[in-house]
Amino acid sequence: MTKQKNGQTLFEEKPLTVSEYIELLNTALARDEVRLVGEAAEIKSYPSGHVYFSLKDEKANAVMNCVIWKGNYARCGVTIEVGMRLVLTGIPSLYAPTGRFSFVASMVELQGEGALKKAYDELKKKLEGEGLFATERKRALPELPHRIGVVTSREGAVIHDFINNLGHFGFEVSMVDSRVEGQQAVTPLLQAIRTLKKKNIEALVVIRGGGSFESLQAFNNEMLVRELVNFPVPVIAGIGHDKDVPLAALVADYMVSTPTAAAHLLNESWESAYAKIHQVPHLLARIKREFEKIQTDFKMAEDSMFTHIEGGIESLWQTLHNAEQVIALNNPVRQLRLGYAIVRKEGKIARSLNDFAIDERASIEVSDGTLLARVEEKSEYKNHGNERN
Amino acid sequence: MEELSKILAWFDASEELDVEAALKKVKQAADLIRASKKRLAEVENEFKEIKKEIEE
Repeated sequence: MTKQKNGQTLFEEKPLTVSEYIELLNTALARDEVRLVGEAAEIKSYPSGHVYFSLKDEKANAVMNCVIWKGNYARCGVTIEVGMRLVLTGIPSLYAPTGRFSFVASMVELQGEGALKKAYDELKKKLEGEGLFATERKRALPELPHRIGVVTSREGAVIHDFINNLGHFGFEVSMVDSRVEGQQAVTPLLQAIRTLKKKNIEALVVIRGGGSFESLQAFNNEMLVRELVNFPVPVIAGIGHDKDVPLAALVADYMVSTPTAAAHLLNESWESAYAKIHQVPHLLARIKREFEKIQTDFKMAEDSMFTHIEGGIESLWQTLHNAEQVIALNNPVRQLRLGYAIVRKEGKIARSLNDFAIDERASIEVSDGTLLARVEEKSEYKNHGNERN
Repeated sequence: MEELSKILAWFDASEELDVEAALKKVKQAADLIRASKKRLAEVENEFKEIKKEIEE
């Protein structure tokens, strides 16, 4: 339809159709995204989810028809209201059927810290009401995490700080580059998170450096926050902030202040495991010492027990031996065999000369029988006591 | 052993010598001593075997 020659645009002879021309214009208009600031008016939300509105520049008496399609509107996390100061990102476009000129916004941002803060507070309250910041729903990192997904910007020191502080524990890092600055970061951040959602990772790390409240707006986006809430593995948020903690950090399972802290968090269980491994030789030595002590104690107890039992057996043998001797000494048969005799008077054992008078009868028992005798004479021992002893 | 102790105590306490009773007690004591020696020898052997097993 057109030709370029020496920097000049040449028109072909054949005229363009309206639709061809509109297509030509739209192609040219779509080349560069534009950011527009103005005040919202005449808002019409359709059941389809698309929203039509005007953006006014009161001072210059200028107005622009605007539209934001359902998907983008849901993503931007802003409910457009009349009078709101908005910053739109998008491209202008002519709608062929009506010839209507509109600005097609892909992103809507609130302008002014007051408005941003109000939106932040409202969403924070809503999410808190749903229990999304509750400690109970925070998930623990797996022991010895290995496959890590990282969402951050490839530019700048953040990713280097993170990687440099990650221990040499064989981590496999899947990094997805994303813009992280301002509200425009919402779409790339969502894409990056959704990309990693499909990967076999054990933890997701979302990091960026510190920044102003406005520069962190993407991390207060409802869709992004909910994406992190529903992320299948634990999420570590290392999103720098000053006063108002980004909502993405509040819903994350771990909230750390810097990329370095995020790396240290991942190192923790590895370092702990390594420390335990280093303790193993000491523990083994200690167990060995304990075991040897038990062995010694057992041997001593064993020896003591054996000595005790042996002593008891020996003592019983001695008791039996003594009993044998006592019984032998008291055995009347033995005494009689030795030549002793038992003298009785009228059946009772006589022990003294005084038990008998002369001519009285006595029975004398010897080893093989009994004699009957008569007392003819009594003769008392001299030194009676000594003799008997 | 208890029975044996009673017999020994009986001999120790007897003042009148009752030959028949003494003979009976001697016989009883001899039987008890024999049985006790047999049982003690068994126990001693058993203990020696256990000790050997533990020490091995």
